[in-house]
This record gives sequence, C-alpha cells and structure tokens, in this order.
Amino acid sequence: MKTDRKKNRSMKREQKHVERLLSAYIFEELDRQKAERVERHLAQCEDCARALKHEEELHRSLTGTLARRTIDPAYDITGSVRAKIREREDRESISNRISKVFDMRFRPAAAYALAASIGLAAGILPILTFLSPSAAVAESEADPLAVEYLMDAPPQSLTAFYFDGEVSDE
Amino acid sequence: MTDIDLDQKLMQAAAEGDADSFGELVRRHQGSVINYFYRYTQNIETARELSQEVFLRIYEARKRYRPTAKFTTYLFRVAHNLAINRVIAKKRPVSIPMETGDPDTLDPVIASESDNPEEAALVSEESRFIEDALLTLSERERSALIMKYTLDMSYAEIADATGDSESAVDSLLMRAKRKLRRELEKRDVSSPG
Repeated sequence: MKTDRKKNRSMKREQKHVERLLSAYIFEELDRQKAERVERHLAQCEDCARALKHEEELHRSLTGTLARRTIDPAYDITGSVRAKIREREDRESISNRISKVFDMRFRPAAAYALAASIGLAAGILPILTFLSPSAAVAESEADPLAVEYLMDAPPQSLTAFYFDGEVSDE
Repeated sequence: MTDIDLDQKLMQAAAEGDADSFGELVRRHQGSVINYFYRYTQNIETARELSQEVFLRIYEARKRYRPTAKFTTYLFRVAHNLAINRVIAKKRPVSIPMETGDPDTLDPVIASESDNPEEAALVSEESRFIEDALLTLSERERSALIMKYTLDMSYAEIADATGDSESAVDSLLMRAKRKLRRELEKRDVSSPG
C-alpha cells in the first residue's frame, strides 16, 4: 500500500516533469538523455501519450499556418532600401556642406543672416514692430513680407534692409 | 564559403563603404525579415516598412559591426527590438474572403500550396483563426513563436536574438502554444457541428 502510494507520487512527479518537456521534445531541442527519459515515460503513461498527441496536432497546425512563404516580388524592398540610404546620405552631405560654410571665419555674419532669415520666417518682425515706439508698419496684401520696421527711419522694404542692392517693389 | 561567412564578408564590405554588398545582404535576407514582420503584424505594408527600417538601422550602424555573432542573429535582434518597442496597429489586412473565389487577392505574401480547393478552404479558415489568435499573445511570445515556426530558428538562436535564456524561450513557446490551444478550443466549442 505504502509502496503503491510512493510509486503514484513518483509517477505524478515524473508526469509533471515530462509534460514540461513535451514542447521542447517536439521541437527536437532536448539532449539525447532527456529525450530518452521522455520516451521511457511516454511508453508507460497514457495521459502523457495523449498530451503528446494534442501537442503534435497543434504543432502541425502552427507549422502549416506559420511556415515561411515566398514573398511576392511586388513586395521586394531592395530598391526602396537603396533609395532611402541614398536619400539619407544626400541629406548628410548637404548638412556637412552647410556646416563647412558656417566655419569659424564666417560664423558671426552667417549666424546673423541665418537668425534674420529665421526671424522672417517665424514672423518675429511683426512682433518687434508692435513693440517698437516709433516703427511704421506697412502691410501689403500683395506682399505679406512687406513689413517695414526701423526706428526713426523712412519706410523701406524688408529685403532692402537686410540685403544690399536695389530692390524693386512689385 | 558558408552562408554565415558570406554574410559577414558582405557586412564587412558594407562597413567599408561598399553599398552594393549591403544591397546583396538585403536581397539575401529580406524574405525572412518580411515574413517575420508579416506574421507579427499581419499587414504587408507595415511589414515592408518595418523591414526597411531594420536594414536602414543596420546600415547606419555598419561601421560599428563586429562579427562576434552570426549576421542573422544581429539582424533579428534589431527586428525583434523594433517589433517589441513599436506600437503595432492590431488591424487585420484588407483581404477578400475565400468565398469570392479570387485567390490572387487573398494574401499578398502566401502562395497557395493546395490543389484541392475544399482542403485549401479548411486550411485557410483554421490559418486565419490562428493568425487572429496570434494577436492575443504578448509581444515576446509572438516574436518567439514566429522565430520558431516561420524562421525555423533553434532555441539557441532565438535566445541570442531576443536576449533571453534558452529556458526562457522554452517557457515563452509553451505559454504561447497553451494560449493558442485555448483559443482554438473556444472556436471548436462555439462553432456549429
């Protein structure tokens, strides 16, 4: 009686152990020793033999569904990867060239010109114009950038203020 | 020269500025990467975008490449991290159901392998169910399952790619299959006859 109980407990422990190994067993991931232990147990345990059968059915379904397939050539990405690499390299090259332009000799003037351009684009000048006590602001529907700003200076086109040379008002 | 040696040679040439070598690497491995992401996202366009992103990241890091592991380990480490970290829209791909009998539009990736239309329909229905059930898995479970079944990677290769131990990979796969089995049982219980 005691021996039977001990045998049952031992069998249950072995059953639990083998159940945990079934997945790896089906994948053939067990070393020879463990695989043989599983096979010895399966020969004596109907529950585990049944469990293995269910695992194998699921394994077959998953293999059928998830197995690797041939990709339709329409989805080939070789060309698009090459194009994106070229695009990124071109962007880096432009960025490197701009950095060279803004080297130590030109930095102050270039920084001023860059800041002015950014200011224009951001519309800072209208705000500065608003804050300035004696600024004259002219808005033109034809030219949204024709905002004249200068303290105590006659109105000029914005372009003339920042760049030398003649500017024609269009 | 083995495939592994060829990959390393191509990658080293790419690191030295040979773009054609990198193109060859893309050509050699895009099928695996697209398959991985297609199974993961179930959307071919998303799979293509993510696949491109993997190769671009590898290209950008090409000068830091050291052949301490197989190129495919490196490749799928990048792919796995991108899959796990990216928010993937859990949408089914737009496809025309089998009933319309238009096999060309059923699946952009998978070629039909059955000559028997009835058998193909049954397989297709179960496959669709499994694909839906995949989305109920965690990202790590899904990734491990796809690496095992779609890419036929060993436990050791999956462990290298994911940064997990082999026993963790085994646990992930067991859990994944247990969940899928439960979903399939639910379907069998709820489907008539």
